[in-house]
Amino acid sequence: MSALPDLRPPQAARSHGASDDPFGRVVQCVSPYAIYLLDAGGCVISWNSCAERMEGYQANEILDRHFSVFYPPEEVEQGVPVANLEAALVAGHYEDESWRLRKDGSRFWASVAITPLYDRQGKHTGFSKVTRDLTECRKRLERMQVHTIQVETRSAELERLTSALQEANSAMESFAYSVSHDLRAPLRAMWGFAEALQEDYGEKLDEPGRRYTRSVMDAARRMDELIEDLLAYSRLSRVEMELAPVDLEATVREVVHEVCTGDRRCMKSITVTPQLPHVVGHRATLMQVLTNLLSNALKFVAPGTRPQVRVFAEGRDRSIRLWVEDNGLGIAPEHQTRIFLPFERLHGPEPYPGTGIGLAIVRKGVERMGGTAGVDSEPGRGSRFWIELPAAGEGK
Amino acid sequence: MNTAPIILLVEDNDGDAFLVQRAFLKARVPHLLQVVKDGEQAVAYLSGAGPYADRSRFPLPVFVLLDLKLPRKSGFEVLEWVRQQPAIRRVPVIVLTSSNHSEDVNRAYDSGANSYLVKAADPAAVVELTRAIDQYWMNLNQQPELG
Repeated sequence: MSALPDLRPPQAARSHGASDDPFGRVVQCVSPYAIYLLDAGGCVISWNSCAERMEGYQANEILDRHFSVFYPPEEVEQGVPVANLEAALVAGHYEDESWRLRKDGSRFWASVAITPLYDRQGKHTGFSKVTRDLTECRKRLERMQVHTIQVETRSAELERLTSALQEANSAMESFAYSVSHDLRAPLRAMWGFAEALQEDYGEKLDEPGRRYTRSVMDAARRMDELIEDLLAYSRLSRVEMELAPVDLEATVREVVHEVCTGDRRCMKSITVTPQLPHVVGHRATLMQVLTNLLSNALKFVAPGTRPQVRVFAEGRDRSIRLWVEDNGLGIAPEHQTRIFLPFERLHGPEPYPGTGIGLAIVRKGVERMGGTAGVDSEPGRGSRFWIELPAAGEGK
Repeated sequence: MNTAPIILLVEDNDGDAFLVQRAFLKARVPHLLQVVKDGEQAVAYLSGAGPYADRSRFPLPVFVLLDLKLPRKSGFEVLEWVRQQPAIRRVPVIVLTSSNHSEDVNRAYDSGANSYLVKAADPAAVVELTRAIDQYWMNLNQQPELG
């Protein structure tokens, strides 16, 4: 195989594209373009070395052959090669991308341009044909397409999974909701009849009998609280929340009043720093969150200690962090994450009764309002719970 | 009227019905509670049909305490039916149910409920509730003319 220009004299009319003139050399070297000269009938008169490499023919094998040898048989049968030449004649140029055949029968993806050639008198003498092997390019494109399809398939799959997950989640929530409701009917009976038993037959029962009855009623009360909290928690996920500016100070003061049920001594133990800013949130949810934080702060104190609670705010970039600081039992670092999960409790029912859902409601509620919640605490040194919500604009 | 005013309680759960009756007794509400156990019986009672034809034994109630989840005919259906009956469409209907679902609350009012109350589990709260019902609906509320 001769990759170098064949330097036969130019009078050899049908050459292997050899040339002495500078243009001829350029033509010879513009790899990876295979350049052919065809006669008016489409037979190869001349070609460059690149064509030799691309098609796999030696010069003597291809000269004088009709250029349709480069086409796959089915296209030859359909008369495509001749049609292409005719198209070039009509339009003055023809371009195409399609499969072409090498000598060994292998195919390559070619970009082909055919241009008719004329002599000075305007007589049609032949065609120039420039072919470029785009197989690699096509492969890359195909790989890219495959990749694109894979990406699309995966993202469709992801979308499907996400929506399945959302569905499952909302089914789960509505399940929790209806279960909580349905649990209430037997609970009402349990509590109501235990009380009826105590009232109507209490005198006929001995002391253990009366104690058992009280136990049933206590259990019923705890279950009622549990269901109430579960409902509140599941409602937080279901309810649409329209966020709006909320007056933090007014809300905190209202919650303090409610948590203390108006008790002056209790209210005195909670210090609220004046002029708390406005935040963006959902008032009812914020009240629920603050109620849980404040009642925890009042509840989890060592026996005999008077609770001291301080509520203050701190501006942070575009959000407001509200702190609820207590002088309570404090929480060890290893528990500080799990206390925000539902049903996590650090204390037995005595002397700190509760359902273990309060802080889960705090976190979920704050998250639904686009905020975050956390705690900063050490055992024996009290806790500082915080919630962070977007600040309401206009310098408030 | 020479007999004590009647309250119609539509409640399918025997336990709930018993406890409401007991709460009315404890609250010393001087009314007679008639209990029907599903939506169809409620319609029969209110229209004086079948076993309830004798109005001297089954007089029209001063108000209805209506559960929503009922067999055969739901509380909503009973409520909508009542509002279409010329003779009894004005009778006050107080929904008493375990659902505090806002969709249920809204639909009840849309269907013509006069009040919506949620059943409490705490027996003391039930007594409070019956006392409040009596206070408001028997003593303060101005009763409409029926029929």
